[in-house]
Amino acid sequence: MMTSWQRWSATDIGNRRAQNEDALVCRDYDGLWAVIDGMGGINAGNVASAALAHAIEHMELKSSLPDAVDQIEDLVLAVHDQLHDFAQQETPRRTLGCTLALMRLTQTWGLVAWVGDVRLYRWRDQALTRLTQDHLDASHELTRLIGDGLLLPDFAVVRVQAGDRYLLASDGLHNELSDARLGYWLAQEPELAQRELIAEALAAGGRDNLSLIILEVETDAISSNRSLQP
Amino acid sequence: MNPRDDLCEVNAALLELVRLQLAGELDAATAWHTRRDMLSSVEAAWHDLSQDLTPEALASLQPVVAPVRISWRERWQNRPQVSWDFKWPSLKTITLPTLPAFKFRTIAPQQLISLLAQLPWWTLFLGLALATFYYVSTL
Repeated sequence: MMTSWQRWSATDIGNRRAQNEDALVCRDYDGLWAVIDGMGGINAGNVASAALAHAIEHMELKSSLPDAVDQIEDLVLAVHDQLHDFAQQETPRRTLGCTLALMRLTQTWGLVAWVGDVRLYRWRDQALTRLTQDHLDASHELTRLIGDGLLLPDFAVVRVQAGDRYLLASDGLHNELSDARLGYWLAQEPELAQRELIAEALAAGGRDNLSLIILEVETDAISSNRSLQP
Repeated sequence: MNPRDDLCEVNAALLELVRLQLAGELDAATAWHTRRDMLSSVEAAWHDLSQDLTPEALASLQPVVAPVRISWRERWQNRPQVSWDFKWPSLKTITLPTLPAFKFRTIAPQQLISLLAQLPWWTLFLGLALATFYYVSTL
């Protein structure tokens, strides 16, 4: 039984920010997606997110699970060092960096990697489950940031099932909407969910840039022509 | 239970390996070898693993906190913000900046231009009228 998937994605500047510092990576044919939330202000946050997005876009994917984890960790740490050096030279008075949630799917395993407070949710059997843990302390400050401080990404291995829906969401989205609202929209058609999640987050304030990727996992029996396989 | 028999246990172990490294309690080489061994076993026995991340299992995991504290968020949240809300004809509905004036020094030119571009058209005439009034008063 072959597993396949469809992807819907969107990003929005929000209501308050001068520019969109988020970045999305959608390598549908490789089974790799990422939401990156840049931070640091004008000419800094977007540089950070674009640098990481570029690196992920051009990563040559390893096929085994331990190699895949190693290469994602190596890539994140390499970009971390580059951003740290860039910040020291260009914006020494500001913290520059980005947070990340990444999902990779193969015909066997699924892999999640994350840094910071970009989240991955799973919608399965009418229940919403968050698969990532925010790297925040008690005062809701980031404890891990790609580009600053001591860093290692966290990983989780997942087994996907036909009918699963996954949501990668930046903090601009999940901070505006409750889990109940996220679950409500993930239960709808993904195309509608993609549009309405952004609209509802904007209506709720849209205080930050908003980004999401929705994935729907299918098997051969129900997949359509739009579906993709690795 | 063998930790390699259950994906939830594997994921808990992955988090713990990172936590120990960040806390300086485990060297990177040992952590790397341990992780590779574990993930190789997971991949080899993939079809025998029956469990996945469940809400209950996730709830049992303790949040992993690195021994660093980044204060950018507080600075970012405290950045100056200007909000305008105008409903004709009541001037009482204009909300002026509430933050101390000295904080405006931190607004970048691009941010200022972006904020000005969001102002309604009548503020241009208001500005011109005030400028004319000031100019005439200086004659």
